[in-house]
Amino acid sequence: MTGVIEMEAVTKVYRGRAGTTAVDGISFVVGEGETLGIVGESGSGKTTVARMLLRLTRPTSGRVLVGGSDIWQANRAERKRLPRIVQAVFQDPFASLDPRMRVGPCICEGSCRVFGRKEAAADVDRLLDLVGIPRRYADYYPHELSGGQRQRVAIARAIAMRPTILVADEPVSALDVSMQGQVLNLLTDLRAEFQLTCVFISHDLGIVRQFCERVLVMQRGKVVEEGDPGEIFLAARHPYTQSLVAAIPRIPA
Amino acid sequence: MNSNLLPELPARSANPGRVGALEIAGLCISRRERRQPISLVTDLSLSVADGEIVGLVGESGSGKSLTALACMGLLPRGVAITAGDVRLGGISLVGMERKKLRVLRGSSISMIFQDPLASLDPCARIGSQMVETILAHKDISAAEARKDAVELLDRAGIPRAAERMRCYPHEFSGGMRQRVMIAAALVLKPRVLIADEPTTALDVTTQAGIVELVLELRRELDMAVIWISHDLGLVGQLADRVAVMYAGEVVEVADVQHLFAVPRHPYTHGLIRSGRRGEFGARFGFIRGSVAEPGHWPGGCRFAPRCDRVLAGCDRHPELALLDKAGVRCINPMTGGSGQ
Repeated sequence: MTGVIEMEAVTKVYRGRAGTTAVDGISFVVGEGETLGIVGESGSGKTTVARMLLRLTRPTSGRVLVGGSDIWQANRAERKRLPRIVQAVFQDPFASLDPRMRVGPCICEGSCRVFGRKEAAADVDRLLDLVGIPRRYADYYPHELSGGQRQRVAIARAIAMRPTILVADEPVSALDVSMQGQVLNLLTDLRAEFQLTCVFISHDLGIVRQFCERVLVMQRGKVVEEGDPGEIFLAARHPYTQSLVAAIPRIPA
Repeated sequence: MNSNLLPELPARSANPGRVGALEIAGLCISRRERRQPISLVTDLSLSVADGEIVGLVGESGSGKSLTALACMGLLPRGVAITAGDVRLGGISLVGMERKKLRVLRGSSISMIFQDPLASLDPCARIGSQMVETILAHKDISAAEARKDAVELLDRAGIPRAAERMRCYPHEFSGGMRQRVMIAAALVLKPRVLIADEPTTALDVTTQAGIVELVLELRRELDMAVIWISHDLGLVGQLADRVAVMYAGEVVEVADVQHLFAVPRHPYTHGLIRSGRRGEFGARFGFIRGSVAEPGHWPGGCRFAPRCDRVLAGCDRHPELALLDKAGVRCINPMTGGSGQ
């Protein structure tokens, strides 16, 4: 099976006295337009997977393929093109936006290098509409926005590059429950509109079940279970997944 | 804001026969500003009985943590109680001498925080930190204090407690560190424990362990607990009664089953809807807009700008009124179950 994203026996060992194996020989494929969820507790290696996919952390061994080519063997031109294919939204919108850059320039910072200053700047209004932020906010600084609005700006900034792949690493865990739904619905809409392939990392199996078509459960750097999130939610096979499902605080229906 | 002129509501307890361990009555908190003070919490009344767990729920910025800090006499500089009272076993804590308050803090009322790493001294072994606390309050020998500390660590689920007394905070995992914090907070068997989002930074399985621990200790010590959280699902699992806060005031207070079965305030209903998860592809529930900052609250109902049930009368500030078995601050409350 080939897919848009392929990880082949990828391992990441962080150097240190003991040498921590963050990701231990994992392989998976994400098909075009598919959303793959990765769940696990802190320290299970989910974020390291995302970082290797974004070309931020070099794998110790194994291959990471995006669109069939190994991003860690890419030449200069291919490396330059990568941000137009893969974009990311991170957990903490307080840390991921430059506090000294206004919202407008922040959104088109990357895209104006690719599409030209004029076109990218003209795109800002459309992007703000798309993520549901009033156009006048283009002149605001990030600190003037709420957490949810900041995360929308981060999403607009990612979408501005017209990527085909979106990696979202805990995009709502820093937000209030009442805000999470707004951002998740927005991601759902954008995913449909731009036919995005998504990798969605979360510790919340409930959210993954509602947002992802397929899920990998990671524990200590290994995939312990893989499948349909709805089925896993009802009948997990691996004891670790069972304990994760059992521990979710649920609102009585 | 003239809400401190509103009449004080009688404290509603789930078990009216019992004594309120902690009673908050008409509490108002403001921040001093150059021009005029800004209200942060207004007219908050809540009581917790011995052995009862009350959940305090709301979005960030609703004043939950400030309320907790006010009970502890630990409000930050420039923020002060402007009206109302906090009574611990009938004794008023507001305006109490700092020395006396210090004696109560730790021995009668204790608090645990979200980030245990920030509350523990990184340079001191956890054993000596706990022993220090005990010796500050109790006239016993260091050896006895040590024995008490080991016993509580053991009770809090720290394996090989006697050995771990020699460890530094960084040598523990997040969940274990929170267990240490709980042990340290309970070492003097306080009557009231305030827990401010103690599990937010923890994994769900670790969280479940901490919840279990607090439930056990509550039974054992007949402790009154205020559990602050933004997670209604979590509070639903552990609290007997829930108070929902919005923009510095309680908008709904009810027994936990009642609150989930018939949420009356549109905000409570929105929170429940937001926390519910469904099948793949289903829309996520949410509350539109975001919380107004203190100083920018509307004069009428503070939730009105985000509410779908606004009436003409919503431009007047509603009072917390008794409706069935719940206190609700809304003139157009929801009627049916939470499914509507």
